[in-house]
Amino acid sequence: MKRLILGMAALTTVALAGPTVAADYPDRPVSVMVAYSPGGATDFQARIVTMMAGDEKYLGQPIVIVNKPGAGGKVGWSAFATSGGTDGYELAAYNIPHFIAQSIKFKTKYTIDNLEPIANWGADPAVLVVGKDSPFNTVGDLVTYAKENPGKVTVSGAGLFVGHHIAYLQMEKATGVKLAYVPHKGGAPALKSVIGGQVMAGVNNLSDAFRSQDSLKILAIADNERNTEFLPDVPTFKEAGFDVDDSSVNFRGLMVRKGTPPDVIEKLAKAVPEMFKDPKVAKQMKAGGSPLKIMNREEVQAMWQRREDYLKELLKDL
Amino acid sequence: MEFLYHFGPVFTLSSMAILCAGTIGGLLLGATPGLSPTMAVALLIPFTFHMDPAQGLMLLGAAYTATVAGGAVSAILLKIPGAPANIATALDGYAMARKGEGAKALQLCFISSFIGGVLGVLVLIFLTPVLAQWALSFGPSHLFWIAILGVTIIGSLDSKSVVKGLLAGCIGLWIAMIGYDSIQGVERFIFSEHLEGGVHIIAALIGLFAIPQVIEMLEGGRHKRTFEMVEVKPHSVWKSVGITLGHPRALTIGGIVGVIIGLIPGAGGQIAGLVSYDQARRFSPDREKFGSGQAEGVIAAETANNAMVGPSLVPLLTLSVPGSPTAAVLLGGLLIHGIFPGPNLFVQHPDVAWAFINSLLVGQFLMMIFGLYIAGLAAHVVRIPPAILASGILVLAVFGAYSVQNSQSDVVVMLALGIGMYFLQQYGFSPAPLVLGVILGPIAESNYVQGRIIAQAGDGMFSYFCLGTMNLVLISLVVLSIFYSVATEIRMRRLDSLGEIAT
Amino acid sequence: MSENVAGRLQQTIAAAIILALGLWVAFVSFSVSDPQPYLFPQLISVAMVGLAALALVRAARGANRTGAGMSLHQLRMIAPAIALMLAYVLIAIPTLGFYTAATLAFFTLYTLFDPSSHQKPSTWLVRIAVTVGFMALIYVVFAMGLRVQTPRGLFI
Repeated sequence: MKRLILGMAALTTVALAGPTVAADYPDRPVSVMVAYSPGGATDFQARIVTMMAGDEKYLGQPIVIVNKPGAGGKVGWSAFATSGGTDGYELAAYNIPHFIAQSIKFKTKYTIDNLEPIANWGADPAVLVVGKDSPFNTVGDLVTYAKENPGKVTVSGAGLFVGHHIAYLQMEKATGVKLAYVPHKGGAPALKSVIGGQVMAGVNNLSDAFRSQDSLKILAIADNERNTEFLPDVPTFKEAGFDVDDSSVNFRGLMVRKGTPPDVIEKLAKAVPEMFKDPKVAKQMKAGGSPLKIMNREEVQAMWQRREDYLKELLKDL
Repeated sequence: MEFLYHFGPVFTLSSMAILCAGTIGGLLLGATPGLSPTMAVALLIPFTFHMDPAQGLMLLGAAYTATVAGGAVSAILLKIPGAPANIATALDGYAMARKGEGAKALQLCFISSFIGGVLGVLVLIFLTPVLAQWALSFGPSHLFWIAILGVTIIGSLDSKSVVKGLLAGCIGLWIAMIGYDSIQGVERFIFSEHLEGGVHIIAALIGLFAIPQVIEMLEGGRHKRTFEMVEVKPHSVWKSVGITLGHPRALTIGGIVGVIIGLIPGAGGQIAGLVSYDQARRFSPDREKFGSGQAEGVIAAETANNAMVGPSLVPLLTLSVPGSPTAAVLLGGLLIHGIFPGPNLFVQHPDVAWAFINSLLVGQFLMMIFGLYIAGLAAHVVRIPPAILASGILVLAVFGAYSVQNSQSDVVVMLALGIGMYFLQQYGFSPAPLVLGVILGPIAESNYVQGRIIAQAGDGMFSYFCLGTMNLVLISLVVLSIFYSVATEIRMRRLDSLGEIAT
Repeated sequence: MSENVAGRLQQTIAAAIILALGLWVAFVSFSVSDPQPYLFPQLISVAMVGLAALALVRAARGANRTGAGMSLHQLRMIAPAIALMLAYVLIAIPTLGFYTAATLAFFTLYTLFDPSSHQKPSTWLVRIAVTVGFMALIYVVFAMGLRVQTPRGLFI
């Protein structure tokens, strides 16, 4: 009976609202679900890049951030992929490689097949950090120590099968040493345990580490090139002699559920990258040490596919 | 004394208007059943987008202060705590309201909140450099023992029967385990699609306290009034000041507990009120009267949960590390304005940093003034007929549970827990130990798991969890607490059996 | 005296239900293939089963004297309220929309338990006015003020 009522309600709604959806879309505020806790890098970047949404040039309606943290993002994305709205009023922020790695490793309810990218706003490489008073000054120091003391070097990161963990796995593979990964409930607590000396090292976001430079040493970036804008003096892993590429770089952007009307997706895919390019957004992002990387829908679709293929390969033998 | 120099911008007309708006709004949001301080601050952040950074932060600071205190209003008058921090306030506060002392309880609550709050902000102003590093030194093993310390007070909390108190605590701990486990991501006990996201602490709090109250109000049906509406007798503010100051022990315990728990990142201040209440009871000569409307209990609980506000910002402002959920939301608010907390905050943006801290201080005064005014209006709230009150609380509980994470599942879980709790209450179980279990479960578990990995990489479980000054201090506190509870139980059992013979 | 016996029976049933819950938690926790994430549930379930068994024994011996228990009359009185809450949350919100469901729930619950007459038109006016006023306030605060997003059904 409940099903029937629901079905009828849904039918009526569609029949009533069907053809006019895109014309006046959006006519009320749009929400963006962030699968991480407030104050973390994804959360605050999402707030910055969406702050201009209310401008008539872009969506003409404000964007509200809704946090659903837990289990490295699984809680939020799982809820989004199963019960998120498909009317274009419920968006979500994605983190690559996190959700792709999780969808490969676990039986998650989300995959790249039931989600539709809108646009990408940022690329945040993972960095290797140690506390201010740490005896390690280069990745080499850390690896040498870890070789002598296998399994003794504790490394914090935000959860399992997130960018930090992928970088950690690549690091273990490239250096051939055994470390101990300590998963945390998000990037901020993971960084706290490095600053507080509870762990010997940590993998964290470039943007967060950049802001906490006074209490940290940043040893290396897990990317193909140095970050000339924020950390020109920090070498990449490859420069330090370890084969860790950009696979763990944390891409962030917006997506909707599959089943969202194509004209709504089209409208979003057009307006959202423009919104990300707003000079005010660029200024705020730079001040926060958050690298902008704007990609349109087609570029993101290709990037998702590439990551899926690579991660399937990497995680196969782990 | 730099903060005095920065008081100027706080006392401009526009700043005062913002502070007053933040305080009144915060008090009302806090007093509404179902709205927590974290949520109120999160909901206010978008409003600060178009303000200048200093004023935006003043709004958030004032709102944070006021919501924490405002949560006591519904705790006292309706036995529905606005936030986990106010659970302890409900225990004696509601009992006082039942005796007609609602206005007095509210006055005591705002005065002791003010004393605790000012103390907390002064700690923030003067001791930040000293305490920041200390706050960060708390690692997984310490947080694990703190959570266990919390578990030891479950049995004696608001239950006449220790067995039932502990059992309620166990049910709460189990409820906290539902959903994906936060470290490994394994699905546990997800027997309904609504449980996928786990049970949110605020949804649980609303359900467990508000829904049984709603049902109880309706127990008498249309005509018979079985629900005793509380009567609020007027009470002199000056007398309340005297009463509050006449409890130096409760104020001291509340202040110390609030400051220490506030400083420790991860303990979250949610348990400050409960721990302080429990300690005040243990040191009080009238400990048997706690739970039956003891002013001392309200004072201890409210001093602590406002004393925690200032110190909870210490790790945030100096090291950019949020120590509590609300501090994490405030961090987002700071970042949006391009202000990065850290050692350089006071060098690069002294105006904004001090404006924020000063607004917390001024906010305490405003909170007390407006709060005492609200205490005077309290009589009107409880004069609302039960049918309207019950319907209103039900609708607010649904909205509150929903707006925490925009989740319909949270509403379903809230209602299910609430109806279950109503039946449990009829058999002598009470919601306070259950909620404490829900709060402590994840803290104990995630810190145990992290600690185990670190210990296995290092010196082994025993030396990591049980050696070191801080661990030893915490473990001895746990042992003392258990010892004390057992001793009390043995003494009370004797009284209890005498009582049974008499009846 | 008869009331005491009923109390004892009820207390026993309540303890038995919790014991069953504890046993189920224990069963799930101990029968998983990877026990590592279930360490805490295992510990909790053991404590729960132990305490519930103790409560059951105490209740069966009549030593359990906290809590008034339920009476059939009480159950009859609260049944409509509980049914209404369930209908509100499980059916009305997803089909009708958040505010519409809340308005109906408020009005129905208020009407069902309002002591004033259901015959006089004036009392109906009062009830409608209170409902509309309350919901308008909620709408202003949540939807317009705090911009809380609520799910839509047929209506808002």
